[in-house]
Amino acid sequence: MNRLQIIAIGVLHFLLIAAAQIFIFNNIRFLGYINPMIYVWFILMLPYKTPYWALLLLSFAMGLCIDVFTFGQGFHTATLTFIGFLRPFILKFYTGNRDITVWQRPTSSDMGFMQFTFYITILIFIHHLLFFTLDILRFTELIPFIIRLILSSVTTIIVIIICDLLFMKHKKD
Amino acid sequence: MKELARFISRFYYIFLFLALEGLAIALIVNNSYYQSSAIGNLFNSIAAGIYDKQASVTQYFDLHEENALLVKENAALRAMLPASKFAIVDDSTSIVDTIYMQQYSYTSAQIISRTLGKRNNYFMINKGSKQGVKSDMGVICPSGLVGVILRTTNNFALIMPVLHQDSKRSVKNKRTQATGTLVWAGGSYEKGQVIDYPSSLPLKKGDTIISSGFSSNIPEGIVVGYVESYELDAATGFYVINIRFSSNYNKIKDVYVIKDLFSKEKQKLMKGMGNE
Repeated sequence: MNRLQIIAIGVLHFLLIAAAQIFIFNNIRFLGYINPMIYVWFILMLPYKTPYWALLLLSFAMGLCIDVFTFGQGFHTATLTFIGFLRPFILKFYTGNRDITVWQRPTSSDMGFMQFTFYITILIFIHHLLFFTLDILRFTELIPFIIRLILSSVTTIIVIIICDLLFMKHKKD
Repeated sequence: MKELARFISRFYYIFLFLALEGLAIALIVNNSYYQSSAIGNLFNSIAAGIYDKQASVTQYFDLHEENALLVKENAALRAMLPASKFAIVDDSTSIVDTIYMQQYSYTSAQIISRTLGKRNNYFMINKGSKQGVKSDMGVICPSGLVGVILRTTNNFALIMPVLHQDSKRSVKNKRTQATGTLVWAGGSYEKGQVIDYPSSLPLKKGDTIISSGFSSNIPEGIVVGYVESYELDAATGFYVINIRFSSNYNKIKDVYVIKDLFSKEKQKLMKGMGNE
């Protein structure tokens, strides 16, 4: 029963976050082109004990979903799959010897605010770096590329932290 | 054998990752093929269907602004009517006997989805091949140029707007008639560039850049943008002009797809020339 509930919550999160990205955040463009990519949060906040195969398949599915709706070339799929692959290695540093229930997720209330911020910053930065390298590096010079990379990463990180504080506060156990 | 099975079961996720990542990269590399394949078509029509539902809800939100834009366009068109012109030359001997033939017809459509932040952006509209929209037709909006049709499905079409690396439109300066090529260097959707512009002709800040009419799909005189700054490209001797687009591509909703009624005749003329 437990497992079924977790899967149901996962499906709900997938739909909500994909819809939020497609219908709301894809229409937000700070300074003309800075577009927060909160769909990465879906992979970042899956429970600690999500099996590897599920993590990879979900990353692929979420990436593909965003690509289909932005008429993309597969850049979201490629980068998010890599993030799904990377997540367990990063999270290893945070779980250590802690006892972890199937319900626990990497949220700010579970990890502590600073730890959480650090965790998402690493993965979001890697994600944005890969994505922008694929999408625009061929066409722009290095300095505008770096500025855009940093501004976009910071925007995404801030939006994810706000979402985490708003929606994840009471899900500690 | 047992060792191998244990190795695979221990590191299966690496293989799974490589398989999925390989699939994603294949998607990127073979993108043009995938876009025209059955699965690409299916994905496009799923996205189109959902965006259409969304548009039918959200289109009421900025109806006011959209109306103001259309009324303004109507006023401009009304001013062009013969009835609102005053004949300056009152020459009783000349007989004005000109018969016009319709060259362009316009189909109205609404943008139901768009991307703006990427290097290659696309707009989707709610008219397709069933409504007579075909690829390569030009698309304009009340405030200026939008782009050309890239692909169509039965009821939807994808536009390649000027915000795309393959979009190269022939444009000219409204004042001096000097021509150049409109390109987009990425970044902000408010700014574009005109390259290959002759430096021998005078150019001023604020000059209006319009479509040249050289390409058959977009008529002459559609406003593209306004000159903001320019510099000489020492290597080629041409000006590179930075322009501000006349349309806000984040806001526009109503567009017109242009059908050139002479396109068949023009194509007939061009036929065989490509072989030489």
